[in-house]
Amino acid sequence: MLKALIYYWRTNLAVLLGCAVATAVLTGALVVGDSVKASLRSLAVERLGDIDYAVVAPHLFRQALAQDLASEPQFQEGFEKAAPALFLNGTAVHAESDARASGVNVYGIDQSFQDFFAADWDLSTPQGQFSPSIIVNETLARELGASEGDALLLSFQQLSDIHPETLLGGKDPDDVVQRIRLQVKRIVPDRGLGRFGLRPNQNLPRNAFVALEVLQERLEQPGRANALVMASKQPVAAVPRSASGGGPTQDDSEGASTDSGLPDFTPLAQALESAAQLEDYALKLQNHGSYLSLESREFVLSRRLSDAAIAAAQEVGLQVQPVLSYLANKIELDGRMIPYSTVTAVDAGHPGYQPERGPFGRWTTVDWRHAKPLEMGQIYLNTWAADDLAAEVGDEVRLTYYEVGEGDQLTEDTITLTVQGVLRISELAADRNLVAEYPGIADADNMAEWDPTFPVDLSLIREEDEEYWDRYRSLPKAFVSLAQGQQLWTTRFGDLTAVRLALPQEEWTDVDAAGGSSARPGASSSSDTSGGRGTTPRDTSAGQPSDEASGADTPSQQRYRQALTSRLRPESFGFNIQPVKSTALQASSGATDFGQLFLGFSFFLIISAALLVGLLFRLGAEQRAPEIGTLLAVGYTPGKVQRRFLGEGLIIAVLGGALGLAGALGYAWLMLAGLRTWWVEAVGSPFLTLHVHNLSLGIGFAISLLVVILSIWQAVRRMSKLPAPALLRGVTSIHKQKGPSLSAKLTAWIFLLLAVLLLAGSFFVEGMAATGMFFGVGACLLISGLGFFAIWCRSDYRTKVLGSDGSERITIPLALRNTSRAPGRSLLSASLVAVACFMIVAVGSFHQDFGEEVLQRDSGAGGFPLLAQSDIPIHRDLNNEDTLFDLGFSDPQLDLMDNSTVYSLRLRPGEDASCLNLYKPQRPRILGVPDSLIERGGFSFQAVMEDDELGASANASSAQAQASQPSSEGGSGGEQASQSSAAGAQNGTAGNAAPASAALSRPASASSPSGSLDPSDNPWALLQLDLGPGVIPAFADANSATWILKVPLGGEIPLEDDQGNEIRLKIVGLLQTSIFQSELLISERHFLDRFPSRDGHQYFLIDTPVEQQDQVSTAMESALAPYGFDATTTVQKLADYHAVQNTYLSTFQTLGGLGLLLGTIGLAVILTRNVLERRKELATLRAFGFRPGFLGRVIFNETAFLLILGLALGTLSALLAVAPQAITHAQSIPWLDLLLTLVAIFAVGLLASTAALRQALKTPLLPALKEDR
Amino acid sequence: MLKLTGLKKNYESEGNVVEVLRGIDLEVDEGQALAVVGPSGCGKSTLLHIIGTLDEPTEGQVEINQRNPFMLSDKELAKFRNSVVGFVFQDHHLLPQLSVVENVLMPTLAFSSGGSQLQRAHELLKKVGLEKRIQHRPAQLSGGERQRVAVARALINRPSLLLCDEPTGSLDSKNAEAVADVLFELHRDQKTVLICVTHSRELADRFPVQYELRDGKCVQLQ
Repeated sequence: MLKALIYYWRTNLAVLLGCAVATAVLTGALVVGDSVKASLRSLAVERLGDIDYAVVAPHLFRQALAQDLASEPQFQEGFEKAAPALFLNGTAVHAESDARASGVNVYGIDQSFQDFFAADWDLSTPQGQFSPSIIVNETLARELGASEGDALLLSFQQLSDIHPETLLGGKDPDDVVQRIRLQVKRIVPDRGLGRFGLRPNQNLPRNAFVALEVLQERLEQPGRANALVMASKQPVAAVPRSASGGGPTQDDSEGASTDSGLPDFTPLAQALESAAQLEDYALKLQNHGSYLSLESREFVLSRRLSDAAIAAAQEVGLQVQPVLSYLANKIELDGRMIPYSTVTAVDAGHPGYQPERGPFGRWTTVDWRHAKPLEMGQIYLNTWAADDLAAEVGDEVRLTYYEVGEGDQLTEDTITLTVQGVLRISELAADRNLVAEYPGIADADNMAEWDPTFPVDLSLIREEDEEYWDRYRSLPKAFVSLAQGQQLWTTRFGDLTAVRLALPQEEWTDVDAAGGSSARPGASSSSDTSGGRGTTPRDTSAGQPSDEASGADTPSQQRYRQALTSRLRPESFGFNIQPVKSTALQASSGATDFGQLFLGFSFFLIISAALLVGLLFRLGAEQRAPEIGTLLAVGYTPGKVQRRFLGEGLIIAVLGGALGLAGALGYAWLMLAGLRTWWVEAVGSPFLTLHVHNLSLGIGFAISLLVVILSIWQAVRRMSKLPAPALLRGVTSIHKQKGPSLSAKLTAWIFLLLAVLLLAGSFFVEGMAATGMFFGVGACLLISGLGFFAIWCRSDYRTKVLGSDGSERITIPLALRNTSRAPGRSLLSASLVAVACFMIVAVGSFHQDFGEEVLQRDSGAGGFPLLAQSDIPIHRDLNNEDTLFDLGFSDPQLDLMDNSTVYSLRLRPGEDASCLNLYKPQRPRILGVPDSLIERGGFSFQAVMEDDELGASANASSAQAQASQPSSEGGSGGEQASQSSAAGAQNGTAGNAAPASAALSRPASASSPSGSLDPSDNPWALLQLDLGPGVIPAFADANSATWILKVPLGGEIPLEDDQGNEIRLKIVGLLQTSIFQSELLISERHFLDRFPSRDGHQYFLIDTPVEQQDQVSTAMESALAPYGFDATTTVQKLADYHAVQNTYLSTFQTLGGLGLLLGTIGLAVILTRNVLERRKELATLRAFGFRPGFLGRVIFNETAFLLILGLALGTLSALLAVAPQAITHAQSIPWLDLLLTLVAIFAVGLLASTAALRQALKTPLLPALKEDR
Repeated sequence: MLKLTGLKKNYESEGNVVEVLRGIDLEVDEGQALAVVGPSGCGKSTLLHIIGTLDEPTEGQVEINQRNPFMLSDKELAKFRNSVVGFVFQDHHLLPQLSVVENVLMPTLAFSSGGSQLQRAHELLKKVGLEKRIQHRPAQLSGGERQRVAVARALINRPSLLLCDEPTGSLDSKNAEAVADVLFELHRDQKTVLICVTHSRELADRFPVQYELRDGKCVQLQ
């Protein structure tokens, strides 16, 4: 056997190389997959350092919480360290060059944070340096062109306790944007801490690091942070497998884990709950002598919080008085008007005589009666207001107040209330603690100096108003019932400004003595003896932590604090603990399995290699036909002959496989090198390194070996079945029957039928199924086409070769006829070319470029030429000319904006759900779509949910929610389960979807302007559906849903809302090739319900004439630069997404090119072999006068025919396979590119064949004739 | 019709010059049939190939119809061979992918003849007894039938010189006889010069003139 191997070394070497190629391609694909996963894991571990868990709260908490947490016993048991930080988003500008970088991660850190990375960066500001220091990573420095010592201007969001969308929240750039000038102290590499980021993403972040205290000072939030990072004692994940490809390493958590595979961090949550104080929840519990007052730094108590506060009070037996204070712009009566007064909604008063003043004080009317409780439509004025308005009991006053509307717009509303009485400014009516200290107002010496966050008309302020301010400051001038107040002033942020708790009388204190500054309520009453003009100083110690536990707490205060704290869950305040390390490692399995991907696209290449191996081995075996005949003649059984040859094949295959393993490493290395360089757009950044796993090598080797051995066995089996005499004569094939075999006919027709069925089915499926169909259709068509060719080769069909008009014309028909001389070889040649061509053409037809067609309303860009994002939320209406003027737009810029419309969307930051992110997104970005955009509609939908599906899912969701959440905390007012059934249409575009047959459950909000939309007309209305508690309708881009999120239409994505409740985004529509590939879309109403802490808008769609898109883009970027406003064309955005896809396609086309190379080699081998075998025949033709040129042309045409046949078959199969996708999605096929590709393939094939032909024809023919001897 | 004068042919093999033909003089008149016999390797086929212009002599002259074909250009030589010479080889060398009639017509396709030779092909096939198998492929024929097709093919262009190289060498005696019958019949009909190299005594005996190739020389046998 060994001698045979050596004797036929040329043939065997060719087979061995074929085996090596098959093994290299197969195993290489697996190694690429392993390398991508392992690289993602390495990156995940590197950028998180020792950080295993993180909390990023939507509000600020005590920096000391980290220390308090670390001292908790539960923490110390399983966790190692904790550090506070400030995580902000911002924009950096180089002070000299004005180079700008948006999307900058600004980290305020101290040494405790650096310890997680074993870093020791000096962030201090050296003496004599004017600006504080900043450290930036290489990526940011490169983008800014910054060097050490350069000055940078950093803009970031001003973190405020008050939500910007409340009346008191700042909305102007100066309120929202904070700027700081910093000096670059150091540029750190994009490694370790320099690459830090909580969200899994392989792209290089733009990181800036500033000393924690510097940011705190700039934010005017000393001692506060918004992020905590923690490390557990036991690593939640081991270091990823080494590049050297050693043994497997432990991937999973060593600790306890949940069903989801993530570690159980309950002890950490308990420790956090135990360590958190009321201040960490932005709460203040103040002792006002006879009562406690629970207020929020956010000025409003959420419904959840006020419920907890009241329940805690009931638990410890304290009487409760909820309070809601608001600002009235005007109180008017008969032409008289008091501007800017506070009004308090509180349930006080007593139906009868009230002998004791009580802890909260009493209302006393001007005629010394006790005031009765108020009802709806009634109001009490204090004596000052009544005097000023000349109001009497029974008069109807008009109360005008601000309402915060959609788009953060303030609108005025008015209500008429009946004066029920006039209160003396005493006791409760003299309690300044009823009103919190409004920013911009509280510290003003007089009203003219007010600088509030809402617009005021200072010209309305009179001298009398200033006098009142001097005496009473913001003391309420009027009172309404709590119900009345809540009806008027409840917002999504809450419906109370304070919860007051009565202290037992024995605990009443003189607040001054207790550390406060207020007189007892009784004292205040005594101050109002002059008919309402007394002074009532506010009991407060602004800025002091008077609300925290101290030795001064009364017993009730202590009990209440404990009771309340025990009722508050950190996660309800956005303290969501994120197991960032585990999540990142889990996500590093990747949204796309590169191993499978490369294997899938290498499949045809592997098949080509296997075919080639089979061909080469068969040719070798045919060469040895007499040997086989001799063996059979001397008594070998066919089985024994087969085993003998298989043994040789096995040795060759093993050696080839071993060589192939080395080739696999080279192949994978090349692919990764390609992905780091030429194809870097496919992966975003050059982070991929080679990681080799023995298991993959073993699997690749074994599968390759199996494929090759099967291929060889097939070749040997056929030969050993021939009769010995025939073999002895060198006969290698015998056609026992005339015409094609039944099996060939069956194969051709059955696969054709199958292809037609699959093709028809392809029009009705999407996503992975469509991909499966694509490959199915392609494979069936190829097999069927080759089957028909086999039939043709063996049929009686005659190409007319009997040319009577001269020889030149017969070369082609003769060549065609010649291809049927050795049908098996011709079939194989055509197969090799067809397979490679299929691959190249199919992949090439998916290449997409975008032009102005995206400006159509039913396109992936919805007709918007521009989109923009801002680092800092914008709270202003960008369609309002006055607003734009305020924001700094110049007159020419305003003119540009005249015929532009901006649709502002809310953004919940998260992980990129598009193909730009290789990690599997765990918390995808979410956009809140405003009603205006929903009404507008547009964009193209691949599919939307049908009536019955939605009706069923809504019912199911409702039932499930009712079963699992009997007392759901998460449901908002509009989320009751409904008998909703929605309309939809398959493959519709907005505005032309199929009609719906069922009515929809509409949003509860009567204010929703799009409440009457019908999804049958406009699929966007689906976003407004109520699908039951915790279920929110959402749109996703079809590509992202299919390939990245892996969620089908109707599928659900679980998430946590701001309060830590689990919600499920139900995919009710799939957008087609849209600009929304990075995010999920829900309605703004649902967004605000679930993510109330997110403020402003950060995503913008800009409708403007195309010819001025560049100017509009420049104008907006310039005027909104402080917000980090970054606009881009939608064409570019789509191109960016498709650059990834196109790059992948280029990669796979390269694989197709390798397949073509194999096909060409196969073709050349077959051609050479054919010519050699036909030497006598050719010599005979020469003897009859045929010239070499003629014979060359015949053979050339023969090759060209096989090449063209393979090309045609591959191209046709590919085009038919992609047809459903192209037709369904109106996808254009790059015909010119394809044509050029085909021409190139043809040229390459012919060149290779010509070279082989020339070589073959060089052989002298005369000896062939003499071989007869 | 054919005149060979001082024909020599040497081959070089591993540095040695092997003299295969050592000066052959031969004249053949029109319509003559002759056989060349001799042991294997004596140069019979070489002689035939030189006569058929497939090979050039090392020395000496070949005249066919008073022309030296080796003075012709490649194209003219190919055309000359196509029109003047007909070959029948020991192995028929039929094209397996073509039918019987197509194989017969194959030489007509080398150069435009200005008209179809199909009728003649049918006639020839009829003469060789294969008129009912014209659409069959070579694989469907017996060895003798294939060789008869080769004979018909050799005569399709009405050559004046029919060269046969062991035409019955791979056939059994019955088929060999049948093929020989066909050859002679067609030789008579077509009035061609028939030169046949063979080591078959039975076949050689049927020729009126016989030569023996011995030591590179051609000797007429009595």
